[in-house]
Amino acid sequence: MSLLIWTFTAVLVVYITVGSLIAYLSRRHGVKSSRDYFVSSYRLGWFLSSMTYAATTYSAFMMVGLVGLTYTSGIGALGFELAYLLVTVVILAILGPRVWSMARERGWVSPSEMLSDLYGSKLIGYVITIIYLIAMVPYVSAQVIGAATIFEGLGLGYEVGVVVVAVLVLAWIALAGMWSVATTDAYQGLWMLSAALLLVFLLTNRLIPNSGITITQLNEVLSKGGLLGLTDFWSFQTFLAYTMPWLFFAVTNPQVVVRLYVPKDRASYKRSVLLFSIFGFAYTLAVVYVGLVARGLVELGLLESITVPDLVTSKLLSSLEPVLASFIYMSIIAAAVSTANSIILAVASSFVRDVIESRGKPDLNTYRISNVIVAALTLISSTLAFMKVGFVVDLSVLTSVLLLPLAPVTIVAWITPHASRKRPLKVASLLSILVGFAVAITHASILGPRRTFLTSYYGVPVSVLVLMVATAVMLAGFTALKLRENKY
Amino acid sequence: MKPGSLRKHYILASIIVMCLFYIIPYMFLRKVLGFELFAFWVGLSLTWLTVTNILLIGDLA
Repeated sequence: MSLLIWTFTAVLVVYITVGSLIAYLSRRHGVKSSRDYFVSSYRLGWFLSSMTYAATTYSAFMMVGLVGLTYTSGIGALGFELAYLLVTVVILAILGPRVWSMARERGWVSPSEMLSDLYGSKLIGYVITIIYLIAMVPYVSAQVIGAATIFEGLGLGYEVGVVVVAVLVLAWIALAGMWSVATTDAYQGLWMLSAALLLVFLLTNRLIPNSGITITQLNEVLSKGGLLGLTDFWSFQTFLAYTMPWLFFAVTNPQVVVRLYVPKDRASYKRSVLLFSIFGFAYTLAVVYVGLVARGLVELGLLESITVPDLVTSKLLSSLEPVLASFIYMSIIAAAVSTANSIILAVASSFVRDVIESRGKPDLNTYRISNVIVAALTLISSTLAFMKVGFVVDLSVLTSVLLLPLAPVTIVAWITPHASRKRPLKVASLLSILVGFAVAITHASILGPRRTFLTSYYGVPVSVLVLMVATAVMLAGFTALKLRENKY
Repeated sequence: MKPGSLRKHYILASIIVMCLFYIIPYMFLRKVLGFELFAFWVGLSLTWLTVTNILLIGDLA
Protein backbone atom coordinates (compact mmCIF):
# COMPACT_ATOMS: atom_id res chain seq x y z
CA MET A 1 0.00 0.00 0.00
CA SER A 2 1.19 3.49 -0.78
CA LEU A 3 2.01 6.10 1.84
CA LEU A 4 -1.12 8.06 0.87
CA ILE A 5 -3.39 5.08 1.54
CA TRP A 6 -1.78 4.48 4.94
CA THR A 7 -2.04 8.13 5.88
CA PHE A 8 -5.61 8.40 4.62
CA THR A 9 -6.57 5.32 6.64
CA ALA A 10 -4.94 6.78 9.75
CA VAL A 11 -6.74 10.11 9.32
CA LEU A 12 -9.98 8.21 8.67
CA VAL A 13 -9.55 6.32 11.94
CA VAL A 14 -8.96 9.58 13.81
CA TYR A 15 -11.98 11.22 12.11
CA ILE A 16 -14.26 8.28 12.96
CA THR A 17 -12.97 7.85 16.50
CA VAL A 18 -13.31 11.52 17.48
CA GLY A 19 -16.69 11.84 15.75
CA SER A 20 -18.05 8.70 17.39
CA LEU A 21 -16.83 9.86 20.78
CA ILE A 22 -18.56 13.21 20.31
CA ALA A 23 -21.76 11.48 19.18
CA TYR A 24 -21.62 9.08 22.13
CA LEU A 25 -21.07 11.87 24.65
CA SER A 26 -24.07 13.76 23.25
CA ARG A 27 -26.27 10.97 24.66
CA ARG A 28 -26.05 12.65 28.07
CA HIS A 29 -28.66 15.17 26.88
CA GLY A 30 -31.20 12.34 26.93
CA VAL A 31 -33.58 11.19 24.21
CA LYS A 32 -37.01 10.09 25.41
CA SER A 33 -39.51 11.42 22.89
CA SER A 34 -39.62 12.08 19.15
CA ARG A 35 -39.20 15.76 19.99
CA ASP A 36 -35.89 14.95 21.73
CA TYR A 37 -34.81 12.67 18.93
CA PHE A 38 -35.60 14.87 15.94
CA VAL A 39 -35.26 18.44 17.22
CA SER A 40 -33.40 18.07 20.55
CA SER A 41 -36.54 19.53 22.19
CA TYR A 42 -35.41 22.93 20.88
CA ARG A 43 -32.39 23.04 23.19
CA LEU A 44 -29.38 23.68 20.93
CA GLY A 45 -27.09 26.59 21.73
CA TRP A 46 -26.01 29.12 19.10
CA PHE A 47 -22.76 27.37 18.18
CA LEU A 48 -24.33 23.96 17.57
CA SER A 49 -27.35 25.50 15.80
CA SER A 50 -25.11 27.43 13.48
CA MET A 51 -22.61 24.71 12.71
CA THR A 52 -25.27 22.07 12.09
CA TYR A 53 -26.98 24.47 9.67
CA ALA A 54 -23.70 25.13 7.86
CA ALA A 55 -22.49 21.52 7.73
CA THR A 56 -25.93 20.35 6.58
CA THR A 57 -26.22 22.99 3.87
CA TYR A 58 -22.73 22.69 2.47
CA SER A 59 -22.36 19.20 1.06
CA ALA A 60 -19.60 17.41 -0.82
CA PHE A 61 -20.76 19.48 -3.79
CA MET A 62 -18.69 22.42 -2.56
CA MET A 63 -15.19 20.90 -2.63
CA VAL A 64 -15.95 18.70 -5.63
CA GLY A 65 -18.75 20.20 -7.76
CA LEU A 66 -18.26 23.91 -7.13
CA VAL A 67 -14.48 23.71 -7.51
CA GLY A 68 -15.10 21.95 -10.85
CA LEU A 69 -17.76 24.44 -11.90
CA THR A 70 -15.43 27.37 -11.16
CA TYR A 71 -12.63 25.61 -13.00
CA THR A 72 -14.74 25.19 -16.13
CA SER A 73 -16.92 28.31 -16.04
CA GLY A 74 -14.99 30.95 -14.10
CA ILE A 75 -16.22 33.59 -11.68
CA GLY A 76 -19.91 33.10 -12.54
CA ALA A 77 -19.81 30.16 -10.12
CA LEU A 78 -19.09 32.65 -7.34
CA GLY A 79 -22.24 34.59 -8.19
CA PHE A 80 -24.25 31.37 -8.22
CA GLU A 81 -23.10 30.37 -4.73
CA LEU A 82 -23.19 33.86 -3.18
CA ALA A 83 -26.76 34.40 -4.47
CA TYR A 84 -27.77 31.35 -2.45
CA LEU A 85 -26.00 32.58 0.70
CA LEU A 86 -27.36 36.11 0.45
CA VAL A 87 -30.99 35.09 -0.04
CA THR A 88 -30.76 32.40 2.63
CA VAL A 89 -29.50 34.85 5.24
CA VAL A 90 -32.20 37.37 4.28
CA ILE A 91 -34.86 34.63 4.64
CA LEU A 92 -33.36 33.57 7.96
CA ALA A 93 -33.60 37.20 9.13
CA ILE A 94 -37.10 37.98 7.86
CA LEU A 95 -38.99 34.71 8.28
CA GLY A 96 -36.74 32.60 10.50
CA PRO A 97 -37.61 34.18 13.88
CA ARG A 98 -41.32 33.76 13.13
CA VAL A 99 -40.85 30.06 12.27
CA TRP A 100 -38.64 29.55 15.33
CA SER A 101 -41.36 31.02 17.53
CA MET A 102 -44.27 29.13 15.89
CA ALA A 103 -42.38 25.82 16.12
CA ARG A 104 -42.34 26.17 19.91
CA GLU A 105 -45.92 27.32 20.25
CA ARG A 106 -47.27 24.56 18.02
CA GLY A 107 -44.79 21.81 18.88
CA TRP A 108 -43.52 21.13 15.37
CA VAL A 109 -40.99 18.37 14.95
CA SER A 110 -40.98 17.58 11.23
CA PRO A 111 -41.16 20.05 8.31
CA SER A 112 -44.13 18.24 6.75
CA GLU A 113 -45.91 18.37 10.11
CA MET A 114 -45.38 22.15 10.04
CA LEU A 115 -47.27 22.49 6.73
CA SER A 116 -49.81 19.90 7.75
CA ASP A 117 -50.53 21.96 10.87
CA LEU A 118 -50.51 25.36 9.16
CA TYR A 119 -52.97 24.21 6.49
CA GLY A 120 -54.96 21.98 8.84
CA SER A 121 -54.60 18.99 6.50
CA LYS A 122 -53.10 15.59 7.21
CA LEU A 123 -53.15 14.84 3.50
CA ILE A 124 -50.61 17.60 2.84
CA GLY A 125 -48.32 15.96 5.37
CA TYR A 126 -48.57 12.60 3.58
CA VAL A 127 -48.01 14.13 0.13
CA ILE A 128 -44.94 16.06 1.31
CA THR A 129 -43.50 12.98 2.98
CA ILE A 130 -43.72 11.13 -0.35
CA ILE A 131 -42.14 14.08 -2.19
CA TYR A 132 -39.30 14.15 0.34
CA LEU A 133 -38.72 10.47 -0.28
CA ILE A 134 -38.59 10.87 -4.07
CA ALA A 135 -36.47 14.03 -3.99
CA MET A 136 -34.15 13.45 -1.04
CA VAL A 137 -33.15 9.78 -1.25
CA PRO A 138 -31.28 10.33 -4.56
CA TYR A 139 -29.57 13.34 -2.98
CA VAL A 140 -28.37 11.21 -0.07
CA SER A 141 -27.22 8.54 -2.52
CA ALA A 142 -25.24 11.18 -4.41
CA GLN A 143 -23.49 12.14 -1.17
CA VAL A 144 -22.59 8.51 -0.49
CA ILE A 145 -21.36 8.12 -4.08
CA GLY A 146 -19.24 11.29 -3.78
CA ALA A 147 -17.54 10.06 -0.62
CA ALA A 148 -17.15 6.49 -1.87
CA THR A 149 -15.51 7.77 -5.06
CA ILE A 150 -12.69 9.19 -2.93
CA PHE A 151 -12.10 5.72 -1.46
CA GLU A 152 -12.12 4.29 -4.97
CA GLY A 153 -9.73 6.95 -6.27
CA LEU A 154 -7.27 6.20 -3.49
CA GLY A 155 -7.41 2.48 -4.18
CA LEU A 156 -9.37 1.51 -1.08
CA GLY A 157 -12.39 0.29 -3.02
CA TYR A 158 -15.70 1.95 -3.82
CA GLU A 159 -17.69 -0.64 -1.87
CA VAL A 160 -15.61 -0.01 1.26
CA GLY A 161 -16.43 3.69 0.92
CA VAL A 162 -20.17 3.03 0.65
CA VAL A 163 -20.10 0.81 3.73
CA VAL A 164 -18.00 3.25 5.81
CA VAL A 165 -20.22 6.23 4.95
CA ALA A 166 -23.46 4.30 5.48
CA VAL A 167 -22.31 3.01 8.88
CA LEU A 168 -21.21 6.49 9.95
CA VAL A 169 -24.46 8.10 8.81
CA LEU A 170 -26.50 5.50 10.66
CA ALA A 171 -24.41 5.39 13.83
CA TRP A 172 -24.14 9.14 14.24
CA ILE A 173 -27.91 9.49 13.98
CA ALA A 174 -28.85 6.44 16.05
CA LEU A 175 -26.72 7.39 19.06
CA ALA A 176 -28.80 10.42 20.06
CA GLY A 177 -30.81 11.72 17.08
CA MET A 178 -30.48 15.48 16.59
CA TRP A 179 -28.02 15.76 19.47
CA SER A 180 -25.50 13.39 17.94
CA VAL A 181 -26.11 14.81 14.46
CA ALA A 182 -25.67 18.44 15.59
CA THR A 183 -22.54 17.78 17.65
CA THR A 184 -20.88 15.74 14.91
CA ASP A 185 -21.99 18.38 12.38
CA ALA A 186 -20.16 21.02 14.44
CA TYR A 187 -17.06 18.85 14.47
CA GLN A 188 -17.33 18.14 10.75
CA GLY A 189 -18.14 21.77 9.91
CA LEU A 190 -14.94 22.88 11.63
CA TRP A 191 -13.04 20.21 9.72
CA MET A 192 -14.58 21.35 6.41
CA LEU A 193 -13.78 25.02 6.90
CA SER A 194 -10.26 24.41 8.22
CA ALA A 195 -9.50 22.10 5.30
CA ALA A 196 -10.75 24.65 2.74
CA LEU A 197 -8.73 27.44 4.33
CA LEU A 198 -5.69 25.18 4.59
CA LEU A 199 -5.94 24.42 0.88
CA VAL A 200 -6.12 28.15 0.11
CA PHE A 201 -3.04 28.70 2.25
CA LEU A 202 -1.12 25.85 0.63
CA LEU A 203 -1.99 26.96 -2.88
CA THR A 204 -1.01 30.57 -2.19
CA ASN A 205 2.13 29.97 -0.20
CA ARG A 206 3.41 26.69 -1.58
CA LEU A 207 2.02 25.51 -4.89
CA ILE A 208 1.96 28.85 -6.71
CA PRO A 209 5.44 30.04 -5.63
CA ASN A 210 6.89 26.54 -6.09
CA SER A 211 5.56 26.53 -9.65
CA GLY A 212 7.70 29.58 -10.33
CA ILE A 213 4.82 31.98 -10.91
CA THR A 214 3.18 34.83 -9.05
CA ILE A 215 -0.46 35.56 -8.22
CA THR A 216 -0.30 38.44 -10.74
CA GLN A 217 0.64 36.05 -13.55
CA LEU A 218 -2.19 33.78 -12.50
CA ASN A 219 -4.63 36.69 -12.59
CA GLU A 220 -3.41 37.70 -16.02
CA VAL A 221 -3.96 34.28 -17.51
CA LEU A 222 -7.44 34.03 -15.95
CA SER A 223 -8.26 37.47 -17.28
CA LYS A 224 -7.01 36.56 -20.76
CA GLY A 225 -9.24 33.48 -20.75
CA GLY A 226 -12.27 35.61 -19.87
CA LEU A 227 -12.72 33.68 -16.62
CA LEU A 228 -13.02 36.79 -14.48
CA GLY A 229 -16.11 37.88 -16.41
CA LEU A 230 -19.18 35.88 -17.38
CA THR A 231 -18.15 33.10 -19.75
CA ASP A 232 -20.45 31.80 -22.48
CA PHE A 233 -21.59 29.05 -20.10
CA TRP A 234 -23.24 31.64 -17.85
CA SER A 235 -25.99 32.91 -20.13
CA PHE A 236 -28.66 34.73 -18.16
CA GLN A 237 -30.99 31.71 -18.51
CA THR A 238 -28.34 29.35 -17.17
CA PHE A 239 -27.57 31.65 -14.25
CA LEU A 240 -31.29 31.83 -13.50
CA ALA A 241 -31.75 28.06 -13.89
CA TYR A 242 -28.84 27.37 -11.52
CA THR A 243 -29.67 29.95 -8.88
CA MET A 244 -33.48 29.82 -8.72
CA PRO A 245 -33.85 26.45 -6.91
CA TRP A 246 -31.09 27.44 -4.48
CA LEU A 247 -32.66 30.79 -3.63
CA PHE A 248 -35.51 28.87 -2.00
CA PHE A 249 -33.34 26.12 -0.50
CA ALA A 250 -33.87 27.44 3.06
CA VAL A 251 -37.64 27.21 2.59
CA THR A 252 -38.01 23.95 0.67
CA ASN A 253 -35.37 21.54 1.97
CA PRO A 254 -36.54 19.61 5.04
CA GLN A 255 -33.09 19.24 6.58
CA VAL A 256 -32.62 23.01 6.82
CA VAL A 257 -36.24 23.95 7.60
CA VAL A 258 -36.10 21.76 10.68
CA ARG A 259 -32.96 23.60 11.81
CA LEU A 260 -35.01 26.77 12.23
CA TYR A 261 -36.77 25.11 15.18
CA VAL A 262 -33.77 24.01 17.21
CA PRO A 263 -32.00 27.05 18.77
CA LYS A 264 -32.78 27.20 22.48
CA ASP A 265 -33.72 30.89 22.59
CA ARG A 266 -34.10 33.91 20.36
CA ALA A 267 -30.59 35.20 21.09
CA SER A 268 -29.11 31.82 20.11
CA TYR A 269 -31.07 31.91 16.88
CA LYS A 270 -29.70 35.33 15.94
CA ARG A 271 -26.13 34.45 16.80
CA SER A 272 -26.42 31.23 14.82
CA VAL A 273 -27.42 33.21 11.71
CA LEU A 274 -24.40 35.47 12.19
CA LEU A 275 -21.98 32.56 12.50
CA PHE A 276 -23.58 30.79 9.54
CA SER A 277 -23.12 33.97 7.45
CA ILE A 278 -19.42 34.09 8.30
CA PHE A 279 -18.98 30.36 7.67
CA GLY A 280 -20.82 30.45 4.34
CA PHE A 281 -18.99 33.51 3.09
CA ALA A 282 -15.52 32.21 3.99
CA TYR A 283 -16.20 28.70 2.69
CA THR A 284 -17.61 29.96 -0.62
CA LEU A 285 -14.67 32.28 -1.29
CA ALA A 286 -12.17 29.56 -0.40
CA VAL A 287 -13.77 26.99 -2.69
CA VAL A 288 -14.05 29.39 -5.64
CA TYR A 289 -10.42 30.46 -5.14
CA VAL A 290 -9.33 26.81 -5.37
CA GLY A 291 -11.19 26.37 -8.67
CA LEU A 292 -9.71 29.54 -10.15
CA VAL A 293 -6.16 28.67 -9.11
CA ALA A 294 -6.49 25.20 -10.63
CA ARG A 295 -7.67 26.70 -13.91
CA GLY A 296 -4.88 29.28 -13.89
CA LEU A 297 -2.26 26.58 -13.35
CA VAL A 298 -3.69 24.56 -16.25
CA GLU A 299 -3.77 27.62 -18.52
CA LEU A 300 -0.11 28.28 -17.69
CA GLY A 301 0.75 24.68 -18.49
CA LEU A 302 1.82 23.93 -14.91
CA LEU A 303 -0.92 21.42 -14.27
CA GLU A 304 -2.15 18.74 -16.62
CA SER A 305 -5.48 19.61 -18.24
CA ILE A 306 -8.44 18.11 -16.37
CA THR A 307 -11.31 16.84 -18.51
CA VAL A 308 -13.64 15.75 -15.69
CA PRO A 309 -14.45 18.85 -13.60
CA ASP A 310 -15.26 16.81 -10.48
CA LEU A 311 -11.64 15.61 -10.38
CA VAL A 312 -10.06 19.08 -10.09
CA THR A 313 -9.70 18.94 -6.29
CA SER A 314 -8.22 15.43 -6.41
CA LYS A 315 -5.71 16.59 -9.00
CA LEU A 316 -4.60 19.47 -6.80
CA LEU A 317 -4.41 17.24 -3.73
CA SER A 318 -2.17 14.78 -5.56
CA SER A 319 0.61 17.35 -5.38
CA LEU A 320 0.42 17.72 -1.59
CA GLU A 321 1.99 15.69 1.19
CA PRO A 322 -0.15 12.64 2.10
CA VAL A 323 -1.10 13.94 5.54
CA LEU A 324 -2.35 17.29 4.20
CA ALA A 325 -4.10 15.67 1.25
CA SER A 326 -5.77 13.15 3.58
CA PHE A 327 -6.94 15.92 5.92
CA ILE A 328 -8.59 17.71 2.97
CA TYR A 329 -10.01 14.50 1.46
CA MET A 330 -11.57 13.77 4.85
CA SER A 331 -13.27 17.18 4.81
CA ILE A 332 -15.13 16.09 1.65
CA ILE A 333 -16.23 12.88 3.36
CA ALA A 334 -17.26 14.95 6.41
CA ALA A 335 -19.32 17.25 4.18
CA ALA A 336 -21.07 14.24 2.63
CA VAL A 337 -21.77 12.52 5.96
CA SER A 338 -23.02 15.69 7.68
CA THR A 339 -25.43 16.43 4.83
CA ALA A 340 -26.59 12.84 4.43
CA ASN A 341 -27.39 12.19 8.09
CA SER A 342 -29.25 15.49 8.47
CA ILE A 343 -31.42 14.68 5.46
CA ILE A 344 -32.16 11.18 6.67
CA LEU A 345 -33.07 12.47 10.12
CA ALA A 346 -35.41 15.09 8.62
CA VAL A 347 -37.12 12.66 6.23
CA ALA A 348 -37.47 10.09 9.02
CA SER A 349 -39.09 12.75 11.20
CA SER A 350 -41.81 13.17 8.57
CA PHE A 351 -42.52 9.44 8.62
CA VAL A 352 -42.59 9.21 12.39
CA ARG A 353 -44.65 12.35 13.03
CA ASP A 354 -46.98 12.46 10.01
CA VAL A 355 -47.50 8.81 9.29
CA ILE A 356 -47.12 7.03 12.64
CA GLU A 357 -47.57 9.41 15.59
CA SER A 358 -50.37 11.44 13.98
CA ARG A 359 -52.49 8.29 14.16
CA GLY A 360 -52.21 8.50 17.95
CA LYS A 361 -50.33 5.49 19.27
CA PRO A 362 -48.58 6.84 22.37
CA ASP A 363 -47.50 3.40 23.63
CA LEU A 364 -45.04 2.94 20.76
CA ASN A 365 -41.31 3.12 21.47
CA THR A 366 -40.47 6.26 19.49
CA TYR A 367 -36.72 5.89 19.83
CA ARG A 368 -36.77 2.38 18.41
CA ILE A 369 -39.20 3.20 15.61
CA SER A 370 -37.22 6.29 14.64
CA ASN A 371 -34.02 4.27 14.49
CA VAL A 372 -35.69 1.60 12.36
CA ILE A 373 -36.88 4.22 9.86
CA VAL A 374 -33.47 5.90 9.85
CA ALA A 375 -31.85 2.50 9.23
CA ALA A 376 -34.27 1.76 6.38
CA LEU A 377 -33.62 5.10 4.68
CA THR A 378 -29.86 4.70 5.09
CA LEU A 379 -30.06 1.20 3.64
CA ILE A 380 -32.11 2.32 0.62
CA SER A 381 -29.79 5.28 -0.11
CA SER A 382 -26.62 3.23 0.26
CA THR A 383 -27.97 0.38 -1.83
CA LEU A 384 -28.76 2.83 -4.63
CA ALA A 385 -25.26 4.28 -4.21
CA PHE A 386 -23.75 0.79 -4.21
CA MET A 387 -25.55 -0.08 -7.44
CA LYS A 388 -24.64 3.31 -8.97
CA VAL A 389 -28.10 3.56 -10.53
CA GLY A 390 -27.58 6.19 -13.23
CA PHE A 391 -31.01 7.75 -13.01
CA VAL A 392 -30.69 8.13 -9.25
CA VAL A 393 -27.42 10.02 -9.58
CA ASP A 394 -28.96 12.23 -12.26
CA LEU A 395 -32.08 12.78 -10.22
CA SER A 396 -30.02 14.20 -7.36
CA VAL A 397 -29.19 17.14 -9.65
CA LEU A 398 -32.87 17.86 -9.79
CA THR A 399 -33.59 17.57 -6.04
CA SER A 400 -33.86 21.30 -5.49
CA VAL A 401 -36.16 21.68 -8.52
CA LEU A 402 -38.44 18.86 -7.32
CA LEU A 403 -38.79 20.61 -3.97
CA LEU A 404 -39.47 24.06 -5.50
CA PRO A 405 -43.29 23.70 -5.48
CA LEU A 406 -43.04 23.75 -1.68
CA ALA A 407 -41.68 27.32 -1.75
CA PRO A 408 -44.88 29.36 -2.35
CA VAL A 409 -46.92 27.04 -0.13
CA THR A 410 -44.44 27.35 2.74
CA ILE A 411 -43.92 31.11 2.44
CA VAL A 412 -47.69 31.78 2.32
CA ALA A 413 -48.25 29.64 5.42
CA TRP A 414 -45.41 31.34 7.31
CA ILE A 415 -46.72 34.81 6.47
CA THR A 416 -50.44 34.14 6.94
CA PRO A 417 -50.73 31.27 9.44
CA HIS A 418 -54.35 32.22 10.27
CA ALA A 419 -55.61 32.41 6.70
CA SER A 420 -53.87 29.24 5.53
CA ARG A 421 -56.33 26.94 7.34
CA LYS A 422 -59.26 28.29 5.32
CA ARG A 423 -60.59 25.92 2.69
CA PRO A 424 -59.62 27.76 -0.55
CA LEU A 425 -55.99 28.05 0.55
CA LYS A 426 -55.96 24.51 1.90
CA VAL A 427 -57.10 23.16 -1.48
CA ALA A 428 -54.79 25.52 -3.39
CA SER A 429 -51.76 24.45 -1.34
CA LEU A 430 -52.32 20.79 -2.15
CA LEU A 431 -52.90 21.54 -5.83
CA SER A 432 -49.89 23.86 -5.95
CA ILE A 433 -47.60 21.14 -4.62
CA LEU A 434 -49.05 18.43 -6.88
CA VAL A 435 -49.10 20.49 -10.09
CA GLY A 436 -45.63 21.97 -9.52
CA PHE A 437 -44.19 18.56 -8.70
CA ALA A 438 -45.92 17.03 -11.74
CA VAL A 439 -44.34 19.64 -14.03
CA ALA A 440 -40.88 18.93 -12.60
CA ILE A 441 -41.11 15.13 -12.57
CA THR A 442 -42.69 14.98 -16.06
CA HIS A 443 -39.79 16.98 -17.48
CA ALA A 444 -37.33 14.74 -15.65
CA SER A 445 -38.97 11.61 -17.11
CA ILE A 446 -39.14 12.93 -20.68
CA LEU A 447 -35.93 14.95 -20.99
CA GLY A 448 -33.86 13.32 -18.26
CA PRO A 449 -32.88 15.23 -15.11
CA ARG A 450 -29.75 16.90 -16.46
CA ARG A 451 -31.42 18.28 -19.58
CA THR A 452 -34.42 19.37 -17.55
CA PHE A 453 -32.16 21.52 -15.42
CA LEU A 454 -30.96 23.53 -18.40
CA THR A 455 -34.07 23.51 -20.61
CA SER A 456 -35.81 26.86 -21.17
CA TYR A 457 -39.10 27.86 -22.78
CA TYR A 458 -38.88 31.34 -24.31
CA GLY A 459 -35.97 32.05 -21.99
CA VAL A 460 -37.79 30.69 -18.91
CA PRO A 461 -35.91 27.77 -17.30
CA VAL A 462 -37.92 24.77 -16.06
CA SER A 463 -37.08 25.65 -12.44
CA VAL A 464 -38.66 29.09 -12.89
CA LEU A 465 -41.61 27.50 -14.70
CA VAL A 466 -42.20 25.13 -11.76
CA LEU A 467 -42.11 28.07 -9.37
CA MET A 468 -44.43 30.13 -11.55
CA VAL A 469 -46.99 27.33 -11.85
CA ALA A 470 -46.97 26.64 -8.10
CA THR A 471 -47.25 30.37 -7.32
CA ALA A 472 -50.10 30.83 -9.82
CA VAL A 473 -52.11 28.08 -8.13
CA MET A 474 -51.57 29.69 -4.73
CA LEU A 475 -52.62 33.07 -6.12
CA ALA A 476 -55.78 31.45 -7.50
CA GLY A 477 -56.40 30.13 -3.98
CA PHE A 478 -56.00 33.63 -2.54
CA THR A 479 -58.42 35.03 -5.13
CA ALA A 480 -60.97 32.34 -4.28
CA LEU A 481 -60.54 33.14 -0.58
CA LYS A 482 -61.15 36.87 -1.18
CA LEU A 483 -64.19 36.17 -3.36
CA ARG A 484 -65.60 33.88 -0.71
CA GLU A 485 -65.03 36.39 2.08
CA ASN A 486 -66.64 39.19 0.06
CA LYS A 487 -69.64 36.96 -0.66
CA TYR A 488 -70.28 36.41 3.04
CA MET B 1 -38.20 54.96 12.39
CA LYS B 2 -40.57 52.36 13.89
CA PRO B 3 -39.45 48.69 13.78
CA GLY B 4 -42.39 47.73 11.52
CA SER B 5 -41.53 50.45 9.04
CA LEU B 6 -37.84 49.58 9.16
CA ARG B 7 -38.73 45.97 8.48
CA LYS B 8 -40.69 46.95 5.36
CA HIS B 9 -37.82 49.11 4.15
CA TYR B 10 -35.40 46.29 4.80
CA ILE B 11 -37.48 43.81 2.79
CA LEU B 12 -37.77 46.28 -0.09
CA ALA B 13 -34.04 47.01 0.04
CA SER B 14 -33.27 43.26 0.06
CA ILE B 15 -35.33 42.79 -3.11
CA ILE B 16 -33.46 45.69 -4.75
CA VAL B 17 -30.11 44.22 -3.66
CA MET B 18 -31.00 40.86 -5.21
CA CYS B 19 -32.12 42.54 -8.45
CA LEU B 20 -28.80 44.40 -8.56
CA PHE B 21 -26.99 41.13 -7.88
CA TYR B 22 -28.42 39.79 -11.16
CA ILE B 23 -28.76 42.91 -13.32
CA ILE B 24 -25.44 44.76 -12.84
CA PRO B 25 -23.22 41.81 -13.90
CA TYR B 26 -25.27 41.12 -17.01
CA MET B 27 -25.59 44.77 -18.01
CA PHE B 28 -22.19 46.21 -17.15
CA LEU B 29 -19.71 43.56 -15.99
CA ARG B 30 -20.23 40.74 -18.45
CA LYS B 31 -16.87 40.81 -20.21
CA VAL B 32 -14.63 42.47 -17.63
CA LEU B 33 -10.97 41.47 -17.63
CA GLY B 34 -10.15 42.51 -14.07
CA PHE B 35 -11.67 41.76 -10.69
CA GLU B 36 -14.63 44.14 -11.05
CA LEU B 37 -17.26 41.40 -11.16
CA PHE B 38 -15.62 39.54 -8.28
CA ALA B 39 -15.44 42.78 -6.26
CA PHE B 40 -19.06 43.64 -7.05
CA TRP B 41 -20.49 40.29 -5.96
CA VAL B 42 -18.26 40.00 -2.90
CA GLY B 43 -18.78 43.65 -1.89
CA LEU B 44 -22.55 43.55 -2.32
CA SER B 45 -22.86 40.23 -0.47
CA LEU B 46 -20.60 41.30 2.38
CA THR B 47 -22.41 44.62 2.77
CA TRP B 48 -25.86 43.09 2.81
CA LEU B 49 -24.87 40.19 5.06
CA THR B 50 -23.50 42.75 7.52
CA VAL B 51 -26.61 44.96 7.34
CA THR B 52 -28.88 41.93 7.73
CA ASN B 53 -27.05 40.62 10.78
CA ILE B 54 -26.95 44.04 12.44
CA LEU B 55 -30.70 44.42 11.96
CA LEU B 56 -31.36 40.86 13.08
CA ILE B 57 -29.32 41.22 16.27
CA GLY B 58 -31.12 44.53 16.96
CA ASP B 59 -34.51 42.80 16.44
CA LEU B 60 -35.31 45.12 13.55
CA ALA B 61 -35.41 42.78 10.57
